[in-house]
Amino acid sequence: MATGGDTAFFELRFRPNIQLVSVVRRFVTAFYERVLDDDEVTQRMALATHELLENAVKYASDGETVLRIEVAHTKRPMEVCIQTWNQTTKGNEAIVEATVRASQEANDPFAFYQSLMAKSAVRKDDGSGLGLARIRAEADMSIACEVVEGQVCITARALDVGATGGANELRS
Amino acid sequence: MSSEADLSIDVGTFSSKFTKEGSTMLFVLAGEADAAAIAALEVLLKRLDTHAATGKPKDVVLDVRKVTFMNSSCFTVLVAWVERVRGLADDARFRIRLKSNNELLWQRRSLHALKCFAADIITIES
Repeated sequence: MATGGDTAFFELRFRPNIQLVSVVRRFVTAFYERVLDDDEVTQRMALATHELLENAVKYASDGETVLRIEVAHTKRPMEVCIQTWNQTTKGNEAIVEATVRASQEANDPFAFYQSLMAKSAVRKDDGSGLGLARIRAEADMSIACEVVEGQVCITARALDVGATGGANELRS
Repeated sequence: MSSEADLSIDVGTFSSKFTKEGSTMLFVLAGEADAAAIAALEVLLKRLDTHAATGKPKDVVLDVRKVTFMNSSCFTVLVAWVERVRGLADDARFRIRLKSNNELLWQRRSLHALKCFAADIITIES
């Protein structure tokens, strides 16, 4: 874990398989517990990390993914940014972009989540986008997607983390 | 034809134990409902459907208090099952009672979403 100035972050480059995702979630949970000191926020961030990684596993063309987690500001409110990068095919790139865009453009994340639940209930495949919608609806994070030099980057961001919490400071 | 023993599963990181109390089928789930649990959860709920079709329970209780995490794929399996139950004929449909642990964020958020999705058949007991 790196801490410098008012930011704590780490970056993990790995070849995740679906079983490793839970291992990484447990690992990042320890990081969140340490820097955020807030069980509620820790669970939100861990949920978002898990869903982003499962998404990366599903769509990465070479199997390699970079996960970066950054917590900015030493004092509350904090800002948490979770990013995944991975290579993907043109076809999957379009699917991921469309899924994120639909989630971004939904005025009511919960209503959008409910609509995807209804669709996923009758789908035979596993591509409803429910995991990414869950990041907005249940982890209360914004979500964005960009494609840079053939890599898809998905960013989930939470602002004002712990704004109403105690006077805990980021511990170095 | 599956037996009642088939209604208890254990895949190491995720398990479900079945008991019957009168006309109530009770499932106590525990562990992490992640990728390793998807297939088992799907099989379990299909077996539950089969038993419910003959046993005609009034209530099915899913006690998920010890499920520490559920990913969206397992949640989708649960949503699909709820949709199947909603689609049953009136005399075959049962109520779904979810026993939840409010200290776990996923349970508060996901189970609330599930209740909103099928408020007519789901109750949450904390």
